[in-house]
Parts: sequence; C-alpha cells; structure tokens
Amino acid sequence: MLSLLHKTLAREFYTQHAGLFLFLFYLIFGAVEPGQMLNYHKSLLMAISSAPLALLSCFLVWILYALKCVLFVHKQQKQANHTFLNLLTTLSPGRQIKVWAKLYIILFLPVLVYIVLILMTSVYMKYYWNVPGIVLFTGFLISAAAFYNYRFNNNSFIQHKALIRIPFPLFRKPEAIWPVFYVIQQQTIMFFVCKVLSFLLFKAMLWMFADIGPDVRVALFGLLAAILSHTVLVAMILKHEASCLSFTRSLPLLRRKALLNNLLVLLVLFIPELLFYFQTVDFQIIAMAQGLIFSLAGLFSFKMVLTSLRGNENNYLKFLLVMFAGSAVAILAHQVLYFSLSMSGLSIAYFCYSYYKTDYKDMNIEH
Amino acid sequence: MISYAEAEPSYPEYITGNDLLNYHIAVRKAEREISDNLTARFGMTAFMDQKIGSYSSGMLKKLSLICAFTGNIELYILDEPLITIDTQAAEVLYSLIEEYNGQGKSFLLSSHQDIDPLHLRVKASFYIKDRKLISC
Repeated sequence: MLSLLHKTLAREFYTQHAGLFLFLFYLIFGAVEPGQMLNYHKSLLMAISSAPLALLSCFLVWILYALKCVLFVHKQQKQANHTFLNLLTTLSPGRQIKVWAKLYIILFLPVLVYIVLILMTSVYMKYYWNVPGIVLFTGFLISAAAFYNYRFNNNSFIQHKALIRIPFPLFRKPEAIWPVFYVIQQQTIMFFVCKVLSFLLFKAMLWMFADIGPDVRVALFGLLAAILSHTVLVAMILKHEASCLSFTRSLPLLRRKALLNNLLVLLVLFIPELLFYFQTVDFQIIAMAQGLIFSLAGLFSFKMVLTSLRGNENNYLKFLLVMFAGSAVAILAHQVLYFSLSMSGLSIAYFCYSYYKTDYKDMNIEH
Repeated sequence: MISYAEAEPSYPEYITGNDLLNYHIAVRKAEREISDNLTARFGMTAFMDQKIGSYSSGMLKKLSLICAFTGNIELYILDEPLITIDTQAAEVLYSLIEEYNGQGKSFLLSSHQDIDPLHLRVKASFYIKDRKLISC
C-alpha cells in the first residue's frame, strides 16, 4: 500500500510543488558564491542550534510545511480518483497510522535532511537539549499529520463544519472573478498557506540580497519567488474551471473578454504581492510596470502551459525549470520586460488559437 | 445561437441560482421576464437565491434547463434531458420543447431513455454505431 501512496500522493506532491522546491533549492544553494557555500551553511546551522529564537522560527516553518502536506493529502483524499485510499480502513488503526506516518516521512524528506544537519551541529556544539526537543517535535508533527489523515479516512462520512469560513455578504458575485471566490471561500487554508509561503520567500530574497543596496533586480527575484509559489494555486483554478466552469465554453462569450477575465482573476489573487513589490521599488513607475507585466505573464503562462500539457505535471515541472532559469537570466540581464512580453505573447496566442480546442475531458486533472 | 445543456451539469457551489441565471441573461442578452417565467414553470423561484452547493441533483438539472432555454436560441442541444428530474419537471420540459418548436426552434436530444411519442413528437431519431450516425 505504501508504494501505491508513494506513486500517487508523494510523487504528485513533489511535482505540484516543484516551483516552491525549485526556489527553496536556489535560496539554499544558489544564492551564495560557491566559495562561501560551506561557511554560509555552517553559520546558518550554528545560528539555529545556538539561538532558541532561530530554532523556534525553524519550528514555525516546519509547521507551515506540515500544514501544506496535510492539506495536499486531505484534498487528494476527497478526489473521486483516490477512493482506493478507503481500502486502508480495512487495516488495524495502528497499521493505518503507520502507513500514513511513512508517507509523511517521504513528504517531509527535504525538511528531515536539514533536521539531521541541525541535530549533528547541536551535538557538535554541545547543545544536547536541542536533540530531544527537535526529535520530539518532528515526531509529533509527523504523528499528528498521520493521525489527522487516519481520522479523516475512517470518519469521512461525518459532515464537518469548515474550520475557517470567511463571511461574505450576499451580493451578486461578478462572473469575471468567480474563481477568486472559489479560492478564498472554498480553499481558504490552502490560499492562506500559499500566501504566507509566497511572502516568506519574497522577504527571504530581499534579506538575502540586502547588502546589494537598492536594485530593482532584487525585488524582481522576490517577485519571481512569489510567482513560483503560486503554481499550486494556478493548478487549483484550472481544475476548478474544468470541473465547474466548463459550461462557459458553450456561451457566446467574446474571446478577448474571456482573456481579460482570466488575467483579472490572476491579478486580483496576486494584488498583495504586487503591492509589496511596489513598496519595495519605492513606487517607481517603470519598475512597477515591469513587475506587473512580469507577474501576469508568469502566472498566465503557468496556466496556459498546464492546459496545453493536458495537466501532465511531469512536463509542467520541466517548464517550471525552464521558466525559472529564463526568468533568472532575464532579471540579471535587465531584460525582464522583453522576456515577459514574449511569454505573454506566446500565452495569449495559445489562448486565442488553442485554448477552446482543449477538451477538459482529455486533461489529466481530477474533476 | 446554439444552446447546450449538459447531461450532468456542474456549477460553482459558491454562487446562487440567480447568479448563474443572470450570467446567462447578460451573455445571451436575454429578457429577464422570460427567464423568470421559466424559473416559475420549473418550480425553482423559491430556491434561486440559495447557493448552488445546497441544490439536489434534480434542482441542478432544472437550473441547467432554465439556463439552456434562456435567450433567443435557434438550436437546443439537450444531453440526457430527462435524467434526475421528476415527472412534473419532465412535463414542463416536454411542453417547453413543443412550444419553442412551434416558434421554429430546433431541438437535438440525446437520450438513453425512450421518448414517449404521446408526450413529444420526434421528427427523426438516430443511433450511433461505430462512430457513425445511423437513422432509425
């Protein structure tokens, strides 16, 4: 059973969050000169091991990561094509929790690798109390996540009230931004986690290059991190469109209006990051326009590429790698505007000529 | 203009029936009064301000039919129009088809159920064999 969970849930988790991992990888290994890499990581590990506040911050980040994993698995559990997970309930409770815990160990691997390094540093620096604290905390996180999925799998027939419900006054919801209501009202926690991660990565980029001084490229790198953090949200919106909004395709809607609606949804969802970016670049008009076009081009191209790939997430991952590398080069070479305009041009061309030809039923996405 | 009603309609759960109907009215530039009349005939008026997420499959099907009949349509394509609706709603649907057909509109119905000739006059019927449309 574990191998099945590994092939479905774990593999899907890593491909869907490829953008996030890509950026974290860059943050950890790519942002420092190769000659200083070892010292940089050594100092970071020593700081975490010796300062309780730094360790506490790590705990918070791990909680956030665990929440992201739990939400992902929970979402998959509810999908019609994951009903095979119900077979797990035939096992004894202990074995079920063990299987879920093993799955979470696989999902936690990136965090666990760093935890092992922190433990080794703590022992080396004689901060022995860190060891049981970190081990217990990690064990608790994995057990709690496993127990949550065990409970959900066995008691899914019980109707639960939403944990967070944002009360919206009754008003006519503008059709153009229905997906925004979907994300905020029905995927509240996922949306919240995405936003927190997006801001954390944005801020991390600014901190990392704080010594450079005012340079629009630093802010653009932060924006790139935020854009890549939204890959899951874009995939979620596409799934929603395929399952609940496919009827709009049979309506006499002008294509340019449909295009504008698409862009408007992405813009509304990305407003907080854009405002933060505008503030970072001191509201300089050219930098603001650059960031706005870059953001919309990036998010819209994610959506178009995922559509053109019929939801094939392995190929989507390859695109993210190319997009990340291309964007990084364009930012460094001060060519973001041309890069963004090229991406927008290709995405809009795809939307105009092929988007409506793509049959949602052919797409490899859960309805 | 062509109108298409899905066999198993699926709409966003967070909007109301009226939100969806208003959207169809706006896009197809339809008359509100006619749509309200359709809503009343299907017995859906009292539920139109409720969120679609609270609808039963029968109500969802009726809503999709109301939306399908909204606007000045030349050809109606109704996929399995009789599934999940009760006999009363089926009667309303039959009468609407007769009425609109009398106004020169065309209908293409796909169904796994036999259509009772007493309820609906069918001009031609076809079946699909080996991806080919064959006249019965």
